[in-house]
Order: sequence, then structure tokens, then C-alpha cells
Amino acid sequence: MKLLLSWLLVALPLGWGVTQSVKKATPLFTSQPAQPAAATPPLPTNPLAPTPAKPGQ
Amino acid sequence: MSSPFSALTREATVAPSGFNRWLVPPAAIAVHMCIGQVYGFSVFNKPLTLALGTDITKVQFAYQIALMMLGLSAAFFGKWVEHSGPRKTMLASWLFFCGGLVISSLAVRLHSLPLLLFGYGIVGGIGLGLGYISPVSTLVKWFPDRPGMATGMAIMGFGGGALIGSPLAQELMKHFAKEGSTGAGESLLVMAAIYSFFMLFGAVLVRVPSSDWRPEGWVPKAATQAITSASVAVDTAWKTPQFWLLWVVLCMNVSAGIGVLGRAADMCQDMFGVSAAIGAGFTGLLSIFNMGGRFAWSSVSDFTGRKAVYSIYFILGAALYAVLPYAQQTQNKTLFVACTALIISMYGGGFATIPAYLRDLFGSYQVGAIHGRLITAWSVAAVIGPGLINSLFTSRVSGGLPKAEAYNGTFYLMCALLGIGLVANLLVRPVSARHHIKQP
Repeated sequence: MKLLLSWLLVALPLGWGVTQSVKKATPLFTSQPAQPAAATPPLPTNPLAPTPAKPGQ
Repeated sequence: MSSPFSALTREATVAPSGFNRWLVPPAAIAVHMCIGQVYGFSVFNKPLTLALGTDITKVQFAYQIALMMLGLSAAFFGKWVEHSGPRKTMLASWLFFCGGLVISSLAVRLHSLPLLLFGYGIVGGIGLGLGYISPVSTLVKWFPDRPGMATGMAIMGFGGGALIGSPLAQELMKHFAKEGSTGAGESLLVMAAIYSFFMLFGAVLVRVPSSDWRPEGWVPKAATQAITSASVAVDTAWKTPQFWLLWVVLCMNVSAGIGVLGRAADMCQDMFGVSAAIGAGFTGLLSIFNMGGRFAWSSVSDFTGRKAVYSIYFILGAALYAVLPYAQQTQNKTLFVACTALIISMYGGGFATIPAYLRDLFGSYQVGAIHGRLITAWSVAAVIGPGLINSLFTSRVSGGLPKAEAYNGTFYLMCALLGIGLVANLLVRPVSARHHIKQP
């Protein structure tokens, strides 16, 4: 029990730290470099029309 | 009547029979993950600049003094650490490190830069050095069968400390910030309290094995060419060529890694035209590999031997650096990220494997103190690495090269540094028997 609690006490903050870094690193794998303005599709004129997906989604 | 401090002596921390040695790594990790906060100090740069009414370079000076004091205190107090045992050292480390945070908080309240430099830099820096070497010797003695893995766990904690310290400070400052205050002073005080809990937990939990203790079923191997069964005192060890070869090994490995780690976000943005958020994400990813590499590579070294694993760091590291210009030319971001992540894992591995390498060559008698003196290589590398990469990059940019290509020369320079490290590593031979002590 003492062993488990001791490891838990250090694993929890370390796990939290890793989670924070993973969150920070997420844009590296999800985002794309900004596209030139001309390549941006025009906004739909009909407000009920579906919004086109953004690059990288 | 026993003194109230008698519980702190080495003798008082000798483990009773039946003590589970796996309780010692959490004690070591607890201390290391606190002092690893120093790597996350940069989040205080802007708030402290505002609070103290000074410029950022002066605030950053506190961090530089702290790292310098880490090396100096580890080198100077190493023998005292060996003599006093881990509990007294961890307590001293707590007093200095958390005391430094409290003084820094006071410096914010009094708007005093000198007090910040004294508190975080000098006082806190001494705590860093003591805390860094405090568990090394103890872990090596508890895990004679797996010294690489054992010290790797503690030093992984130091890498993890950076992952914790930075977001913790940001969350606390967000909580305490109010009109006219950045919340830095209050955050430093709360961090001192949180870290006190973990460091004291480590100090209470830690035990040293009795001199005749051996892991159950473990039979010490006969001394080999690579691993000695003899002992060398710290005052003798640092006069041997082996010490200075390992000093060069550590210095080159750290210089090659720290140069990239320090500029990671800018490098990613300049070479691939990505946003600042992605650059920051890249730094976050490297931090995880820095931490993981400390445990993984040092554990591997228990099977491959220390010389072999350092040869891998240097040969594979140089090969990966040589690939980076190709990744830039082909705009292959995935290749770039994979190569740099592996490089940084070996940078972390280099830190974590060195105590076991020292133990192999000099024995476990004063390995903590010898490690303390070797850490001066880190202080030197902290100047060499960023200095070289920054000056070469600047000269190439001012020579008319686009920023995206200017880094390529620095990567070849890192290959050369790793080459020097490889030569030093290959020159390491067992310590001459005339340096061995008869009765440790």
C-alpha cells in the first residue's frame, strides 16, 4: 500500500505535466501552415448553408 | 539523549531488513521533479519583468545564475553529500530551493531585482545542485543490478519537473493576477509550499541500504573490463583521464542537444513557416522525449553497457543531424520532427546514463560526489551549445542566407561536436588499479 501510494504521489504530477505538454503539442499534428488569402473559399451567402471544412480538419 | 537532528544522519536512514527498495525511486523522483522547475523559469520572464520594472535579460540572469550555482554547488558539496547521506542533503536542498522561491516572492513584493538574483539564482541554485546529486549514490547502491535504470528514473524526474513547473506557474499566475499585479509573487510562494510537500516527502521516505545488503538472488558479477568492483575516492577520480574524458563526453552530448532545445520553436517556424503555436507545440513534444529518453536510454545501457550506448548517442545523433538539412530542403516536417525528437531523447539519455558510467569506472563509494564534479560539464555546455548555434546562425543570416537554410550549417557543427564526444568515449579505459582504495 505504501509503495503504491508513493508511486502514485509522483506519477500524478508527472502525468499532469505530460498531459499539458501533449495538449501543447497537439497543433503540431492537427494544424496546417496558413494558406494564402486568395485560396480561402468565399463565405456562403446563405447563412443556413454548411460551412466548408477548414484545411486540416 | 539524542540530538533532534540525529534522525537526519546517514546512520539513522539505514533501511531495516525487509525494506522494499522500490520505495527509494519515488523519493528521488519527488525531489528531482521539484528542482526541475528551473527549466520552466522562462514563464516568469515577462511577469517578473513587469513586476520588477526591469528588462528581460536581467530577469533571465537569475536563471543563468541558478544553473551556474547548480554546477558549482554539486561540485563543491559532493563530498559533504556522500558523508551526510541523502536525507540531510534532501532537507538542505529543500531549505535552499524553496527558500529561494520564498525570497523571490519577497523580491517581487519589494520590486527588487538584486533580491531576485540572490534568492532564485544563488540560494535556489545551491538547492538545485544539492537536490540533483542527493539521490544518485543511494540509488546506485540500492540497484547494483540495474544502476542505469535506477538513476534514469530520478533524472527523468528532473526532465518531468520542467513539464510540471511551467504550466503550474501559468495556472497560478492566471489565478492570482489582478489589476496592477501579475500574480508572480503569490505564485512563487504557492509553488514553494507545493514543492515543500514533495521534497519533504522524498526526504522522509529515502533510506540507504546497510553495507552488507544485496538484492535477493543477485550475485555480483566478477569485475570486467568495463565494470569495476573497486572504488576510487572523489579526490583521486577527478585527476584521472577517465574523469576528463567523461567530462568531454557529457559536455559534447549536452552542447549538441541544448543548442536545438533552446531554439526549437524559432527553428520550426523559420524552417517550415509554421505558426508560433505549432512552434510551441514542437517544444512541448521535445520536452516529452527529453523526459522519456532519460529513463529509456539509461535502462537500455544496463544491457548494452555504457560505452556502447554513448556511442549510439554520438553516431546516431550525428547521422540524424545530417538528415535535418534534407528535411528542410524537401519541407518534410514529419521527418524533421522525428529526427529532432530522437536527438533530444538521446540528449536526455546522456544526462541519465552518466551516473551509471561513473559507477562502472569508479565504483559506488563516492559516485555522487564524482557526479557532482562532472556536472560542471553541463554548466559549460549551457554556454557552448546556445552560443555556437546562435553565433553561426547569425553570421549565416547576415551573410545573406535565408533563415530557413541558415540552420543547416549549425546542424553540421552539431555533428562535429558529437564526433568529438565519440572520440572521447572510445578513449575511455578502465581506471588504473593504483587509483583504487583498499577499504572504502
